[in-house]
Amino acid sequence: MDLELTSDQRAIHDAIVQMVSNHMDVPRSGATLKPVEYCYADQLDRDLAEGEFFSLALTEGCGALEAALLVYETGRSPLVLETAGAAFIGPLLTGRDLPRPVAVARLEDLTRAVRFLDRARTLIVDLGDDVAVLSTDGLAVEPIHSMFAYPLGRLMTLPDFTAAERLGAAAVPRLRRLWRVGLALETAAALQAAVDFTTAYVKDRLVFGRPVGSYQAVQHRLSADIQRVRAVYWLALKAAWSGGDQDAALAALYAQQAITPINYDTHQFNGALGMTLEHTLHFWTFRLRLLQGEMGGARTQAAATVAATWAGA
Amino acid sequence: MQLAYSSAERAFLAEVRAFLAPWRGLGQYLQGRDHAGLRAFYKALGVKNWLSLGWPVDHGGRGLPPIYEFLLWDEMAHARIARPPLSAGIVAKTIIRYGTDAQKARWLEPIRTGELMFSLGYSEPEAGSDLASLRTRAELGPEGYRINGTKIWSSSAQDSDYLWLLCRTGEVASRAAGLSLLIVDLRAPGLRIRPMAKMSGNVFCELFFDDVIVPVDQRIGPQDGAWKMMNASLADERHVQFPPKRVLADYETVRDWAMAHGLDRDPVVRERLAELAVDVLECQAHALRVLTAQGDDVRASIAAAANKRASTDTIQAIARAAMDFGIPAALTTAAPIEQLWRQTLEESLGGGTTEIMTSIIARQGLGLKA
Amino acid sequence: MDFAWTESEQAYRAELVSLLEQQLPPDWWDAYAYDGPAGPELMVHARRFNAELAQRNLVVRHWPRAYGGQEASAWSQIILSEEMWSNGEPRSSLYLGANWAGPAIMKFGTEAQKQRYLRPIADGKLLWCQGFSEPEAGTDLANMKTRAEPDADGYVINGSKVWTSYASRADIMFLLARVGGSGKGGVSCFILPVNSPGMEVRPIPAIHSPHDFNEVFFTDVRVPADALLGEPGKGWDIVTTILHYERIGAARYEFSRRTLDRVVAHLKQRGLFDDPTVQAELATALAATEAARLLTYVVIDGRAKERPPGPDTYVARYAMVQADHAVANIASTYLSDLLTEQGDGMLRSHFTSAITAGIAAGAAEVQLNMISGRYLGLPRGA
Ligand SMILES: Cc1cc2nc3c(=O)[nH]c(=O)nc-3n(C[C@H](O)[C@H](O)[C@H](O)COP(=O)(O)OP(=O)(O)OC[C@H]3O[C@@H](n4cnc5c(N)ncnc54)[C@H](O)[C@@H]3O)c2cc1C
Ligand SMILES: Cc1cc2nc3c(=O)[nH]c(=O)nc-3n(C[C@H](O)[C@H](O)[C@H](O)COP(=O)(O)OP(=O)(O)OC[C@H]3O[C@@H](n4cnc5c(N)ncnc54)[C@H](O)[C@@H]3O)c2cc1C
Repeated sequence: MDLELTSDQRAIHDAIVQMVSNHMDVPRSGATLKPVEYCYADQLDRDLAEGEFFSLALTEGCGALEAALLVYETGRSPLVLETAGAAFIGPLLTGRDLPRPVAVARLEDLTRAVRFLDRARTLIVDLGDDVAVLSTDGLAVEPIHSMFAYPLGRLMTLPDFTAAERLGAAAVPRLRRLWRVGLALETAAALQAAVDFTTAYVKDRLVFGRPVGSYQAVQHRLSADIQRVRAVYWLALKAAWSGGDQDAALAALYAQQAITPINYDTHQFNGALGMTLEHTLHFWTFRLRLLQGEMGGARTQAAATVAATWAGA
Repeated sequence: MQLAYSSAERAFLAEVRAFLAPWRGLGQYLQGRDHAGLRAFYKALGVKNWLSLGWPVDHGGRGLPPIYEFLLWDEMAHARIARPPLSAGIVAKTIIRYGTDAQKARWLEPIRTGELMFSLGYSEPEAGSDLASLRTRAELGPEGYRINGTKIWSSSAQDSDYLWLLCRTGEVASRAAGLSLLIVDLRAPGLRIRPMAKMSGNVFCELFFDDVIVPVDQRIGPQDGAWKMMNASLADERHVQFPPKRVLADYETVRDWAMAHGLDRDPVVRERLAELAVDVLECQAHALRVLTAQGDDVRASIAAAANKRASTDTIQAIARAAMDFGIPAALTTAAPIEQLWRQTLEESLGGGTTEIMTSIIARQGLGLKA
Repeated sequence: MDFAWTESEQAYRAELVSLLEQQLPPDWWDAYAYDGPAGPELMVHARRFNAELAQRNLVVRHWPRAYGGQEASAWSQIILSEEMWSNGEPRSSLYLGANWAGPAIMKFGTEAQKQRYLRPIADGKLLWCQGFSEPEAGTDLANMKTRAEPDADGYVINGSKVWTSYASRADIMFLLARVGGSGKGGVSCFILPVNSPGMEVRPIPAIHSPHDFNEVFFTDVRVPADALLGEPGKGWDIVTTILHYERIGAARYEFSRRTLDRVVAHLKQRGLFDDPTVQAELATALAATEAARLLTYVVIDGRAKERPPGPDTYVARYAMVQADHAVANIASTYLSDLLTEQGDGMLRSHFTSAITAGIAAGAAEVQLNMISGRYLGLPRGA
């Protein structure tokens, strides 16, 4: 066991972090009062593509862990970028790079709201008994507007899946594993960012002559939160490494359950400022709120965990 | 002990319900985006003399005990119409207690009839929970008070007539002992209002004061004497601060929505709904404690803190549960569930944060020292 | 980054597993281990068991060769703890010696002290107890009052200790007593036999066990000068080192993890397992144990690389407490009849141990304080 990045992994990690750090500024809702729903990191997308970072999972000497680092590090930016589908789920599922962004959805969610669908060029669908991979060209996609800091879309009509590429029944559990890990990584990143942001804020914000962060009531909650965040991070990386059903389900479960307390605490501690769209916090917390419901939410991950752990008699 | 409404109270409740019926849903989540509608509604209340239920009779009020105001605003919250207006509550009650005869004559009547809307100017960028550290200055000169500084988070300031301003008239370091209350015309020269978008989809305002002049006769009560008056008015309003039927309304919205989508067939959903129903009852119990503690300041303060904390926790839990059951359709702005979730997030901050409420319970209720 | 165990680590675990199978009687949980590692039957059994361990060189593999170890990595130490703790810690308090008393002696002891104690520890001969807490000094350990007055031959100890686990059946005590001033400055470490004249051990029955807690009174207990470890008044550094090892010395998450399997078996038997609410609770508890495991492994990874201990320790300890509670709550909600004396010894042992998890070895609130300061860098309060 060795829980540190190898020197190659460290180099990849540092390069990604460097690129992401150039893309941390989001435009705010200003005088127009028109909410900025989200801000897509187009330039970061190009930078990463140029460095072939989206292909890490399939690069000689690299694999799921390296791709996981990409998903995690890009997820910490308040700008949004689709990496879980394009760099992790897609390549590891199909063995090839797919046109990005890549949206991933359950059949029953296609006509409701799917992350990234209004921008996606590839759509991966969990059909229940099969997995379909299709180009979004010619699909009737309607963008959905929301405060959830993600591009969202839905299909007006369901496509003809018989014509689409099908990966077979055996691909279903593989897709769900990868998807759960991707979800856990994205969640870990946004949780960490929200807690980091809040920690910095409570160090500066003075009340009654002392920093908000010097009150033990605040300290204990943030400390419990950082424990949760670190747990999500390690569970997600372990799951990326192992590719196991149980690890993936556990990571997604812990991740989705960590969202409620952390969303609450980070918003509380930012005070009224955190309620405005002029503050950065909601770009993470609102994303988290959407991630919390993905793949059926924590109860589905719990059922998957139980199935993967105690299935026998 | 008498845990039932009197026949007079029941009759009043029936009258309230009948009166409110046509106004149901006016302020979707008690935010009142339809400002013209709200003004019309407050005027209609004025006609019934219901904005002044608790005021003394010789000030144009009905002189009724607090339970009547409670019943009215509780029903109002249930019907999602409006919150108690600042004007007829804190503003009027402070003027009745501390105002001069001239001030009473000038302000009470248009407030009673629902003519005048007030906004609250307490918080500042550097003074929220720690209100006594506020810095907006009012210098007394020949033409009146000259105001300079910044206020923030004033709800509805963009649509109101006057601001109930808390400002510093004493020494910089005077803290609570150097504060005064002024009524400021929101169209006064030198006052700039900047609306800010908030997550609920609504706005609150930042207010910049640049040599704004306020006539001396718009100071209510003694100079530097605001703190005591504020505490008194806080006590006056405890019973309507967070009506339990607001909590019930949120619960019913979520329950009905879950049933409409067949989600209640799921045992996990049923169990959660049942747990939340118990929490709703707990909030009702807290509200009754607030009512019965009226007159005993410490007990009422603890009960009100517990009520605010429990109620805001509960509405957030209700909204969150809905999102958890939620089919993804619940998650986009079109659906009321999602809007409910965003709106409830603010309730644990505005009007005193949950952490401050908890501190009150710890200090006053449990006798714990910081 | 690699989450796999090496072949030799796997072989080591297999060796432990087969040893446990051989050495623990079939009614182990119900007749020996139901009251935790300080239970009287378990402590008697431990002396035999520890001899078997010693014979196989399994007590102190992670120690340097010079002291009877094999320089095995910190990973082998956690493997050992996982296998032992999840089986009710059949070594009893031998582990105090192997985990921190021995290493403290190696680091701070004289040559003679090393000669005297390290071999017996490696041979599995000593059951330890830890005399730290006092009535007025728990979390605030530096407030302890027990005194050691220097005299011609050594020291005379007076005072009392409380919550001292194992004391009534242990051989030897690692004691904190004050030489000189107050506060951290005067704290000094002593090692002395539990049957020293003037020492009186009075058991305190407790909700988690009738046999764990003791109060220990010292009346003019005379110890030789070489009972002192390190320098007089300089014991606080030793304490800090010890506490770091103690916090995650016991692999509590593994016990929780295995107890959860047992809980599931009972639930299945009773037809409660298919309830989705129950399943959600089980999965949540499992996520907590596995989170605690990984957060502990992060600490062990640092140890294996000989990095100075960091704030990850507090994060891991806090996570362990959460995991203990998550599992214990399910057992007490759905299987409370099995937590009685006629019930299931393993569930009972886990449940009572979980009650104390947030207090022993540094209260949970203290872990949070440490995370605030050392991990998040939040400013100190008033
Ligand atoms: C929807 C909404 C409407 C509002 N409307 C108005 C209005 O109309 N007029 C107006 O004047 N103001 C209004 N406010 C402002 C409101 O009164 C303040 O937000 C509130 O007082 C908290 O101040 P703050 O936001 O500056 O947070 P801060 O005071 O900076 O607090 C930040 C965090 O620290 C915590 N904290 C502070 N002190 C302590 C302590 N001693 N112990 C532990 N934790 C502590 C807080 O609970 C919070 O979590 C509104 C706020 C909201 C959200
Ligand atoms: C099962 C068990 C076995 C034990 N075995 C031993 C043993 O073998 N040898 C030994 O010496 N001791 C032993 N102890 C004692 C243990 O070390 C103490 O119980 C522990 O240090 C806490 O001290 P206390 O019980 O005096 O609680 P206190 O220190 O009085 O604490 C009471 C409460 O206050 C909280 N608190 C204290 N300080 C702070 C702070 N600064 N901020 C916030 N909260 C705070 C604590 O978290 C706790 O919740 C054992 C305890 C248990 C439960």
